[in-house]
Amino acid sequence: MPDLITEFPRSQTLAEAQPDLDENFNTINDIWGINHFNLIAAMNSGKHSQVDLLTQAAVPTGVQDEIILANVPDAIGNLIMYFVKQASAAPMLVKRYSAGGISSTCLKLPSGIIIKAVSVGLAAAGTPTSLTIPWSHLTNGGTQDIPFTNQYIVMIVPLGADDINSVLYVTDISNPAQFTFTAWQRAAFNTPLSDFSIASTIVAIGS
Amino acid sequence: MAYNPTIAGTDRIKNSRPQIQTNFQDIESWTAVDHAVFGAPFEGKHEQVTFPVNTPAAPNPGEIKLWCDNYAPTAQPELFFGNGTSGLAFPLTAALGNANGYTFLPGGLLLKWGSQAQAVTTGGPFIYTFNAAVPFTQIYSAWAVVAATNNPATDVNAVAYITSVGVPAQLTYRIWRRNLFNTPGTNQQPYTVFFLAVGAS
Repeated sequence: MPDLITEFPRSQTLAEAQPDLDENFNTINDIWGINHFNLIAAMNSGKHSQVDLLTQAAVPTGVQDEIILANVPDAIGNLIMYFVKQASAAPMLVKRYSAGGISSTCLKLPSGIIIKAVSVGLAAAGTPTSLTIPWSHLTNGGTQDIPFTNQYIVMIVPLGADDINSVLYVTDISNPAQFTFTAWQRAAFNTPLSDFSIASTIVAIGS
Repeated sequence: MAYNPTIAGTDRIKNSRPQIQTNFQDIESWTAVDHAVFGAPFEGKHEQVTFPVNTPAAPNPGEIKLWCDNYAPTAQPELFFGNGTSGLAFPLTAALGNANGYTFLPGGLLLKWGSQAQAVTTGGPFIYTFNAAVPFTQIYSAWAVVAATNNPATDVNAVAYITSVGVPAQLTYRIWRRNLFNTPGTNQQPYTVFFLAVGAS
């Protein structure tokens, strides 16, 4: 579509300016009709029909009393929607990984809260008093992780199809890059689980 | 010069020309806010969408509305999502990020979590109170899981069961010995219990 004509020589007559005026109004109506109900729409003129967000080179800087939606690709070209709220920018992300008995989903919400859901087989020889699992281990070396800065809760429960002789307890979430748990026999007081190999499901919340 | 919507019909073109010119310049400047400008690739589409703080009318039936308004529980402007047909409206970006926090999900559900150190001397019932800044009107599902962040070196001889769910903010639960039938987890070490609940705000 043509650019808007903004120069109207003072010497022009109305008849001479008329084609440029018509062209401008048609251009305005056509451009306004992209993503919006246009000027001559029977209903909803001025409202959005949809919002196409073009990619931007950088996340815009937030300002006081405004929220900005922006679409900024990451280093490998994934399009990511950002919710920019004053000084913070929360990208809405979903990362998934499934291989080697691990199925993980990391989700970053518009609010900035991160939810991680993982199904994974846990195994250990002997009777370990504790096992520490880095989140990178569950997310393809961390490539499919959305790292926590703060880790609020980690819930872990066994998934057993046969004998379910296990209870898992999270013991340490103070390092947001990992969590630590212990495994005990459910029917025997003070007896650690030995040589175990059990499926588990894990839900963690952080930011 | 500001946009002039009332150029006099009696004007001659030589008189109204500056006003017409200014109006087109204003339209071009207005369009350049958040949009690809006239003549640019993808003209008319959005480069970003900026929402200044605003308190609009509720969306009409059949419409979805996004807007930014101040939200008392977070003391910040938040992006609201409104569904004019269902009447649902919620702050999409609102959350409390701490050990007893909450967040809104894009569908409008409210997700809350928390933890509580519980010294078990009676087996319960115990009450956990979620952060009450944004109360539930209904809880659809809730979980309680015993952790051992208070006593990681010793056996954790307990399981937690939610016995009742109350709104706006409370879960009632009991702790039982996992190796003894029908026995409350008395005289145990203090436990950490993690809680998670999904509901409506």
